[in-house]
Amino acid sequence: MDCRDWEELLDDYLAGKLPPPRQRAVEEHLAACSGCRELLDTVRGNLDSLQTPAPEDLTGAILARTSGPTCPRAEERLCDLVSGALAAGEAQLVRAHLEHCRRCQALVVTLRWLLPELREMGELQPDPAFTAEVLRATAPLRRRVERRAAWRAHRRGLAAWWRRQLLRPRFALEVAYMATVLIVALFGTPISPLQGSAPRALAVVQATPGSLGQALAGAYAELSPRIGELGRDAWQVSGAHLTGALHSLEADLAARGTRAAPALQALRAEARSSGEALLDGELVQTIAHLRGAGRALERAWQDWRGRAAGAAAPAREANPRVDENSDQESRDG
Amino acid sequence: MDLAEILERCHAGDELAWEVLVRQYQSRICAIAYTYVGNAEEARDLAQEIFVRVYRRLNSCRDARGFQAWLVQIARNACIDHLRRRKARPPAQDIPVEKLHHLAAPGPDPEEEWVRDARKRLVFRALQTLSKINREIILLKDMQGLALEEIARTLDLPLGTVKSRTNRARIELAKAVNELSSGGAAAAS
Repeated sequence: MDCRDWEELLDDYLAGKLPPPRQRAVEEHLAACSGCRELLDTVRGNLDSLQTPAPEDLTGAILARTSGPTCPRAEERLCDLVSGALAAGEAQLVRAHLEHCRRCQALVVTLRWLLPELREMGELQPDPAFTAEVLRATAPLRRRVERRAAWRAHRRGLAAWWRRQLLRPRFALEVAYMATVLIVALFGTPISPLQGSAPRALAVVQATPGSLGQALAGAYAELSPRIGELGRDAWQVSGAHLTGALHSLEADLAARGTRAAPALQALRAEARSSGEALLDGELVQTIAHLRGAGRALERAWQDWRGRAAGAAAPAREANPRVDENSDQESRDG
Repeated sequence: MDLAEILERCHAGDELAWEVLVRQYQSRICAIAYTYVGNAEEARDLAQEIFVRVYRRLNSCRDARGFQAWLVQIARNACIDHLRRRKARPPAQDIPVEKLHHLAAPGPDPEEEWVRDARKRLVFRALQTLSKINREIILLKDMQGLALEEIARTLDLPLGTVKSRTNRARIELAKAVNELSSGGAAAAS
C-alpha cells in the first residue's frame, strides 16, 4: 500500500468501516510512514476541534420546554432494567438516560443490592428457645386436635360400616325384622311402657270438637297450678334481679331526661302484674299483661326515637340561618 | 417430606409434623411480625401468638400450594390486631413529653440483636418511611415472595393496582434508602 492508496481509505478508516484485512494493511502503512501519521493526527485534531461540547444543562432545558422531565418515565422502567425484564429497545433508551442522570444511576445502584437484601430480610431466625415455646403454647390445643382427629377416624369407620351394610342383599329383611320386634316390644307385651296408648290416641283423633275442647280445658285446669308453682319458683330466683335492672334502667333514663321514662314505668307495672298473674296461675291474665308490656316497650322505643328528632327541632327554630346556609350549600353542591 | 404430607400429618394431630412446620416457617413469621411492630421482644411474642392462631385454624387450610399465602394472611391479621390493641392501650406509666415521638413512630432498637447488619438496618429504617400500603407490598412481594394474585387477595386490592404499585413502591424505597444513607454520610462527615 502506498500513500495515495492510504489517503483514499482514510475516510473509511476514521469511520471504522474497513474490513479487517484492509484495516491491518492501513495500520501497517501508518507504522511505516511518518508523513501519513502526521496527516492522520492533523485530521483527527481537526475533527475533534469541530465537536464543540454542548452546555451541560442544554438537554434539560430542551426537555423542560418540550416533553418535560424524563426521570419519572425512566423510574417506571428501572426495576425491570435491574431484573432484566425490559425489552432490548427500551433498555437501550433507559441506559442512554442513565448515562446523563446521576440520580437515576444512584437508584439503579441501590436497586441492584436492595432486592436481594429484601429477600434475605424476609427471614429472621429467632432464638433456639422459640420453637419449644410455641410447642408448649399449642400443647393444650394439640390434645383437642388429637381428639377431633380420633373422632373423625371413628366417624369414617362407622360410615364405611354403614355403607357395607346397605350393600348387603339381606339388609331390607333385617331392618323389617328389627322394626317388627321393636313395635311388638313397645306396644304388644303386657309389660310394655306404651301399652294401650294406641286406642287412646285413636279416641283423641276421633273425638268431636266439643269433647276436644273439654279435654283441653281439663288439661289446662290440671296444668295451671303446676305452671303457677314453677312460675313462683322462677320469680323468686330472678324477680329481684329483674326488678333491680328495671329500676336502674329507669333511673338512668330519667337522669338523661328522656321522654321514654313514663312508658318504661308502664312497662315495669305490666311486667309486675304479669309476674303476679303467673304466680296465681292465671295464664290468660299473664298473657294479657305481657301484651301490655310489649305495647309499653314499643311506646318507649317511639319516645326514645322521637327524642332525637325533638332535640333537632328546637335547634332549627333557634337558628334558622343554619338551615338556609345548608340548603344553599346543597343546591351549590 | 413435602409440605402436603406435613400438613396432612398435622391435621391428624402428629406433633412431630407440627414441630417441623413451626421450624420451617418461624423465621418468616418472625420477620413479618418484626416488620410490623419494629421491636424484637414484641415481635417474638406476636410470632408465638400467630402460631397459636395458625394451629387453631389449620383445618381450614387443606391445599399445600396456598399454604404460604394463607399463613401470611393470618400473620398480617394478627399484626394488625396487635397494633390496634397497642394503639388503644394506655401507656403503663407516665412518659415525658420529649419522649412521646418514640411512641408515635417506633423505630428499631440500635442495639437490636436481630438486625445487626448496618445495611439491613438502613433498609428497615427506609421501610418505616413508606406509606402503609407500599410497605405491605414490599413485605409481601419482595420479602415473602408472594405472587401478585395472592397479594391482591391478601390486601383486598385489584390486581392491576398491585402490579402498578409494586415497582413504584420499590423505587420509593430505593429513594428513601439513598436519602437516609446520604443524610447519614452527611451527619458522619
